[in-house]
Amino acid sequence: MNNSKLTPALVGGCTFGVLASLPYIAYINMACCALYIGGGVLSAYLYLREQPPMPSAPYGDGAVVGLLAGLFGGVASAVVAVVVAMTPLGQDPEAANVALAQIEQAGVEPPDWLLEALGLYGVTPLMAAATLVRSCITYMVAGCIGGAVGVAIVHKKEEV
Amino acid sequence: MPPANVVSASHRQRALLGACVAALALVFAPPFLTAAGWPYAELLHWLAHPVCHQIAERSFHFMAEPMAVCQRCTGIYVGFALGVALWPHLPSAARWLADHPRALVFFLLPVGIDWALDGTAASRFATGAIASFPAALPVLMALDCVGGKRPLPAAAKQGPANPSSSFQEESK
Repeated sequence: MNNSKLTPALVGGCTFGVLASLPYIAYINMACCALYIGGGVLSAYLYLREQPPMPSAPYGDGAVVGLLAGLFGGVASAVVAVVVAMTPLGQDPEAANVALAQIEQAGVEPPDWLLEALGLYGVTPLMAAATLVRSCITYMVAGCIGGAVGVAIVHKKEEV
Repeated sequence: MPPANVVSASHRQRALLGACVAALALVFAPPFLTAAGWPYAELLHWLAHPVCHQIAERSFHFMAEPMAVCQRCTGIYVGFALGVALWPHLPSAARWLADHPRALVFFLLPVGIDWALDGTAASRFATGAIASFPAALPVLMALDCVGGKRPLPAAAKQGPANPSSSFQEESK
């Protein structure tokens, strides 16, 4: 893997990864995962900007750059999310609480590790790991799509 | 002679289609798992929470239970899966879109208009599907690129309208 892919992926992924973890700004993601896909598109744009004109659009390279951006974005997003969870703003526990309520309603005692992973015990290593895995998977899928779509949109045809 | 397609129905396309079907299964699963008495069904909502607002009034319901994502997101997932399944069988449309890739942006317009007009459940679903259906094409083309499909030299010499669309059918 060379720097021509790593640097755009790092910049695009981390920029949108951090944004997606900030309170309120994260709601932009409710619009078709705009921040996740945006990271891939930005990375593809930065990658193509440094490349010489090519006769065919490098869709494969775009997808790889987007995938890498998703990996970096997922890590950055998880780190920021954990840090934010330590502040008074905290994380949004609504979805976790709804899940917990349904489990209890079914008469099942949820295991401790599940409560910890859901973040109901605050910031713990398991909660951080669950956040990291969830972020990375989501970001890598969306980033890959964003990278391929980004190449389609920003690629300029070589002058013949 | 029919135009050679820019993407083909390869094993990679089928693998991607399988992944899309699996994602759709996760989206549709919560009502059925809840009805089946599985207590952890709500965890699927927790999984999808970062990518969707999951407002119950804006989600499809089965058996009085909301699906994992909203109507528009459901449309997006269904449209993308349909795109992965159908683009290899739509050679003319695929070639046109490959030659005019920026047209992808225009497929986002219906979503924007529907969002601004606060449309109905059907319009949210339909515009989501319209937005994501064409986005499957560049992903399939990326899969072909990563998979090692390359334009044949003869095709490149002939100077096609857009060399990016000169990918040939997968070598036997």
